[in-house]
Order: sequence, then C-alpha cells, then structure tokens
Amino acid sequence: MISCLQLLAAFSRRVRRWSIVGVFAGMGMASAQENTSPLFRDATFEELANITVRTVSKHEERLFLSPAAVTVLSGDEIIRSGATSVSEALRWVPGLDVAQINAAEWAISARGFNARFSNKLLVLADGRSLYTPLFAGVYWDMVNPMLEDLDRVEVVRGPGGALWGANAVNGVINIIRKSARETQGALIYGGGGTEKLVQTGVRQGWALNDHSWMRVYASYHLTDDSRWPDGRKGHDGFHVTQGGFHYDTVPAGPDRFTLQGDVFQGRRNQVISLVTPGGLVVSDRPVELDGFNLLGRWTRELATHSTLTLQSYWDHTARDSVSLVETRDTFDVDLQHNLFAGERQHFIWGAGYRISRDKTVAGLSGGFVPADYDFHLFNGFAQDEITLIPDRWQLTLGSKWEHNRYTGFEFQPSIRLRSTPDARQTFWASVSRAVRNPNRADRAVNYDVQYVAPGPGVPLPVIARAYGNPAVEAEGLVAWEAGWRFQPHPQFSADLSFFYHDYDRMILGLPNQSGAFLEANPAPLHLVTPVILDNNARAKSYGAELAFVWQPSTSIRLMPFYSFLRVDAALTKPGNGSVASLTDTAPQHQGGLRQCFDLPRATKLDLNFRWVGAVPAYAVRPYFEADVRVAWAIRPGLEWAITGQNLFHTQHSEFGPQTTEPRYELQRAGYAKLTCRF
Amino acid sequence: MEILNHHWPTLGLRHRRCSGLLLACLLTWGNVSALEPGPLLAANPMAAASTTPSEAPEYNIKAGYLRLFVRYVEWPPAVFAQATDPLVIGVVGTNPFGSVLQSTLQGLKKQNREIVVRPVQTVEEAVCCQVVFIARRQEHDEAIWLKALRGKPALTITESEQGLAWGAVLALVYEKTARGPKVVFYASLPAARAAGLQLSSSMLASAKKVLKERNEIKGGS
Repeated sequence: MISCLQLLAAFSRRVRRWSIVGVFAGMGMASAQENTSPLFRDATFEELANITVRTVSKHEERLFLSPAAVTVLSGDEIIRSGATSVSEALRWVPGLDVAQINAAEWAISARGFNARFSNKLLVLADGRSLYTPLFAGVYWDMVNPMLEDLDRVEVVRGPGGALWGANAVNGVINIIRKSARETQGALIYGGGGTEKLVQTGVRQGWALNDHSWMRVYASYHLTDDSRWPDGRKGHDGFHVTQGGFHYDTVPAGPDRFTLQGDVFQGRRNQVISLVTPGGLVVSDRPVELDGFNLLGRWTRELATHSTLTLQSYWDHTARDSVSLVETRDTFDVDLQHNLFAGERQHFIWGAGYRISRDKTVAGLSGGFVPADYDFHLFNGFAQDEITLIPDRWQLTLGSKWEHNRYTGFEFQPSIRLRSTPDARQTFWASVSRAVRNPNRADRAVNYDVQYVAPGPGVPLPVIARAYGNPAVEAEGLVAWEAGWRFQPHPQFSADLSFFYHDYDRMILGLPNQSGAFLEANPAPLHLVTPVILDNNARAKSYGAELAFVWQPSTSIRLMPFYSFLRVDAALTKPGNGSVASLTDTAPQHQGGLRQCFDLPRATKLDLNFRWVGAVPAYAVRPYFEADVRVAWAIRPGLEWAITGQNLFHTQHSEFGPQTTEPRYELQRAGYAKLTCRF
Repeated sequence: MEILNHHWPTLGLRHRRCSGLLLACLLTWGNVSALEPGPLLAANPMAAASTTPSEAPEYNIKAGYLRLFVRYVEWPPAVFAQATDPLVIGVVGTNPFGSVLQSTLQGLKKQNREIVVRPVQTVEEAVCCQVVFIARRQEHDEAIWLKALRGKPALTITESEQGLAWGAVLALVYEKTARGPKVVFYASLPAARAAGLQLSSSMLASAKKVLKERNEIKGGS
C-alpha cells in the first residue's frame, strides 16, 4: 500500500537535447530544403569538400557510435511488431520493463522501480514532456499518436547525459513523428478484432507551396475490457478519439518553422474501491480524459555555422475520475544553440522556463494540499563534445543547472568517453549524476491508502493516510555505465551495456505508528496511521542489457535480447517499513526474440517472443508470450495485416494492483487491419 | 591523404553539359535555375567557383558528389547488355535525397547513356544497378547489403567509414572543420578492384582517405 506512493513522483523536465538522432532541431527536416537550395552540377571535388553542411542533420549520429545505452525503434519496426500503441511497441526494447496493467494503462520503466507512474523516466513527444508533475508519471492512456506518423522512438537507458535534465534518471523515451513533408498523400486504415475492437484513422498530407507542407489526421480506437483473474470482465474498456495537424515551412533563407497540435478525448471504464472511514466504497464511474497541445518551433541557421532553435508549447490536459480530478496547463519555452568551436569541439548550450499550473479536486479518499499549485522551473545547460583524436577518441562533458520551486538549484554533471579503435567496434563509458525532483505528491499528497475494518483486537476502523512532506529533498543518482558495440561479421552485431547505479535520498513512505491519531470527522470515529513520505532509503542497482542482431540475408532478421537487473535497498532512517517497493518491482531477468521475415509475394512475417521474470512486489509470475503478424501488400499502397497478440495464454497478468484497484489480466487477442495509401 | 591536385574538368565536357543544363532549366526547373550559375558562367571554371555557395544542405552536396563519381568512374563494358542501356543509380531504402539527386544529375550522360535513379528494395534489384547508394538510415543492414554486392560491378557508396570497412567502394563522410562540418569522401581500392571499377587518378587525388589494402581497417575479414 505504501508502494502506491512510490509511484507518485516528480515533475518532469526537459526536452533534452542531445538526442542520438536529433531530437529537437532537425526532426525529419533534413532534406526539406531542396526546392530552395543550390544544385551542384558543375562543382569540383574540391569545391564540394569546402561547402559547409547546414547543421540540420548533423546530429544524426550513427547509433553504433553513440556513447550511451540507446535503442531506436523505427516507425516501420513499430508497425511490423503488430503494436497498436507506442507503449505496446516498447515491449521490444531491450532493458525496458513494460507491463500492461489493464486495457489502457501501462507501467513502464527502465532499470527498475516500475510502477503505474514510474517516476524516474522522462517521456517526450516531439520535444513536449508527457509527464504529469502531479504523480511524476505518464498517463499512457493519453499517449495515442497515429503509429503511421511515427518516424522513430528513441530509448536511452540510464541518465542519458547532462542535457536530459531532472527525472531523466533511469531513462528517456523520445517519441518522434515524421515531418509533414514525409507524410504527403492520403492514408486510411481500418481494422478490428477480439480485444482491439475498432482501430480507424485517416490522414491527409499536402504541399501548400514548394516550401511548406501540412498534414491533418484523426483516429478512433476502441478497446475491449480485460479480465479479472476469475475470468469475469474487468469493466475497463477504453475508447479515445484524437486528431491533429503538423505544418512545416522552409522558406528561402536561414529559417525553418514547425507548428503542430493535437486534441483528444477519451473515456476509460473502471471499477475501483475507495478508502473511507466508513469502509471501502466501490465506484464504477468512468475516467474521462481530454486535452490539447500546440507546439511551435523556429530554427535559424546562423552565419557562423551554428543553429539556434526556439521552441515553445502549451499543453492542456484534464482527467476526471472518482479518485481525483486534475486539470493542468503547462507552458514551456526553450532556447538551444548548437555551434562548432574549432575543428574538434561541438558545443550546445540552452536555457528554458516552464510553468505548470494544476487544479485538483479531492475525491472521497483525499487529494492534495494545497489543491492548486503553480510549478515554476528554470534551467540552463551546456555540453561540449570534444574530439580528442579524430575518429578514435571523443569526450563529452556536460552539465545542467536547474532551479525549481521545491528544492532550489540542482546540479547534474556528466562525463562520457567514447573510443572507436576500428570501424567495427565502439566502446563507451560514462559517469553521470541525475536528480529526480520531488513532485506534487511527494510534497502535498493527503490520501487514504488502506482501510482495516474493526474486528477482534481492532476496536476502531484504522486508516493509513499518506502525507506529503514539504521538507522532502530531491532523489540523487550517480550512474556508472559502460558499453560495447561490435560487428565482427556483416551478418552479426551486438550491443552490450552494463551499469551500476547508486541512489541516495530515495523517497519512501514509512508508517509512523506513534503519530497515530483519532479522527471523528468524517464519521465514524477512526484511527489514522500517518504514512509520511521522506528521503528514507538508499539503493544500489546493477545490471546488463544485451542485444544482438543476426541477419542471414537482407530478408531475414533475428534479434535476440536479454537484460538482467538487481536492486538492493536499505532504510536510512529508523522506522519499520519494507523496501520491497524499491527492490522487487521489476523482473530480474527478461529476454526475447524478434524475428522479421520478408517473404516472396510482398509478404512480411514477424514472430516476436518475450519472456518476463517474476515481479514479487506485484505478485506477477514469470510468463512467456508471443505476438505474430503477417502482412500482405495486395498492391502498392494497399496492405492487409493479421496480428495475434499474447498467444500463449488465455489470459495472463503483467502487473498487480498498487492500491485498492482490482487485478487485471490480458487476454489472447487477434485483429485484422487494412491500410490504404494513395 | 591530403588534397594534392586541384583538378578542373575539361572545358569541352562543360560545354556539352551546359546545353543539357540550359534545356533542363528552361523546361522543368525554372525556379531552381535562378539559383544556378548561368551557362556562360559555368563555362568558365573560375567564375563557377566564385558562385559556389559556402553552405548547403547535406544531400545537395552529396548529390553533387554522385554526379562527379559517375563521371570519374569507369565500369567494365560487360555490365551493360546493350549500347543503349542506361546507367542505373539505385538508392537503398528510404531515399534521403528527395528529388535533389535527379535534379542534380539532369543533363548528365555517361558514354551516351542516360542516367536513371531507382529505389532499391531487394538484392536482385541492387545487382542490376551500376551505382548503389546505401543511406545512413540503412545502418542496421548496411553490412549485409555490402556483403551481397561484394564482387559485383557496382559502385557502392555508403555514408560511414564502417561501410567502407564492410566493402563499400566509396564513403561520403563528415569532416569537422573550424568552419563547421564538410562532406568529404573516402575510397577503397581493394573494393574497387573486386568490383572491376576504374577510379580515375584525379578523383583519387581528391579523396581524403584511400584504403590500399583490405586489412587497413582492423578486424577486416
């Protein structure tokens, strides 16, 4: 029960920059300038070698060379996996712990500490943070981009460098959609099946003129109930309608602009028990969710061969559930400057400001004190990528400074070293400090999490109430990482990463028995045991993430992966409480095998297996599951696909209840989908 | 290898090309032609040099390189079944050039052959090409494409030094300079020999790096 508060966590941060493949500037605009650019029909080799590359796609560094534990899923891989959402596709990223809770909710983390609101993972969509600063987690049921729009999803495990900032503690997930130019023409898809009842979407892209492109899209998805362990319906069916637009323009001259936005509305059914002094109150009121966002980005190529990017967004979300109502408006502005200083230095610096304003309405079990809050965040960062020996040694130094309203200044330096002794292998190592700022819940929650009915030896009802603590400090991490990528043969490559994480001042709720008190209002008279959130623990974790690719030919690709994780934790303050909510929330062993086959007659077959170890804190037993997808291109632009998901079990559980919610299990499922492009 | 010789193409070649260029500009590329050096300017190498912009998008520069490679590489005559067969440039996977490559190649002929750009999805399609460009996006299976094309009379071009290690003939790579990143090229003589291609000495003189032996890259098989 205390574990439920573990999930509550910090305010997300940054859109961070140092994307492996160019997060923020760039984004699919690499070739967008062709119509206004010079063509080289008469240049000589020497002339060509003297032209400076506009820095747009400069940062598209090869994955093989990136000095961090990075995996990239391309949009095509995501479609081929048979996933119907980004969260589903993340199952195939080595080292991520991805557990589906029910029809619409997910617990996703990297390197341990998984929970519905995993509070050490930063998730970004096109540079926009998807965190709710209230619980510091991601509402995955609100993350529904059209998969056909995805360019790629980048996943960085570990602190990911100084530029990602606070809350990019254990990892960063960066969802990047295509530029409008890459989605020209019309696309319509429709499908349905046993669990994914309805999937429909439509997209239209067009050129406004020879340097501006636009797309609009709309989608509707309806998901069936999952099951309770006894086989009855889980009453958690979900539907969401989403639409949006994306506009890119590259006028002649040094500027580029992007304007994009989304709007969505959805509903998820639920049956939930709320803790009250009178006992558990069961409610079947659905969760209503809606939101919209608008993002603008301006990039200017400066004469000094550097790039200046200014990005700003407004994000509005509202969630109305019986346990809590949250309305949030976030306004964010970021400036970033990329420049080359001499032959061997690539410097990036930037600054940003964010205000996130929430209004909450408490439910029957409590809420937040104060109910409304404005969170301000200022940040600055700088990173220098230094080439020590060209093509051989590279050093990256960076740091980020943040000032937040809760804990003041936080300093997060990192140092990364990369060695490429030859073209077939890359070694990297890093030491970095990362910080998870306290979130609203850590500071201000006031919520009843457990009810014990009166009985023999218990004269009064007892309620455990979680209290936020205004004195709580940020959690700190020092991460030691190393990795090795090698490709000894054209058909085989490996990506190995190893880590040791040392966490300090971890926030954990401990029951304070001596602080128990009687409360008469609301009736009946009951005893309250406070559970106070504080920096009560420290933890260490170590592990490895291993991924391999074997391609016997261009039409067959086999990708085995395995990850190991061990977390140890101990209380640092006197008290009696369990650290299981830190140590036992993610599987120790995970593995899988992805297999992609390009068969004759334009047929694509994907067989994906995954094995997930036990998760004791949520009473999840180890499971072995498989997804299969077969797709035929009937003719160019028309594809017919059949997908089977979770084929090995009638129903299985991937995650357990963290509060008084029921346990859900996922069923074997199948769906068919027709996609038409013209 | 440093650049030793400054090479200018012959004027005769330029004249021939310019008429094609002029026609192309008039017919289809009205907009673009405004940015191009005019035919008269282009006929004078010094004037052309002075109009070369100091910066440009990456794939415009790379398309310029591809045009030069086609001119300075000689294929064994046997690769063309007929005298009228075009010279085919295959781009593997997602085409990063957009239409820039076609526009840049406009008006160019190789031994009176048309130059055609084609997307390539399979090895069978790739072996029918005289030039195979494997873009950065294809990182995950670059090595396997190169293995499949080893010994075939195709000019394989990648965007990484790793690609050269896997048997590509040419690599277009970044070079960091004080004035920002530039695109330069590396060449592999063993790969060119295996493919039966002749790289002209003036082109090799412009290469930033020339691999003379297979084992120059450590770990070579």
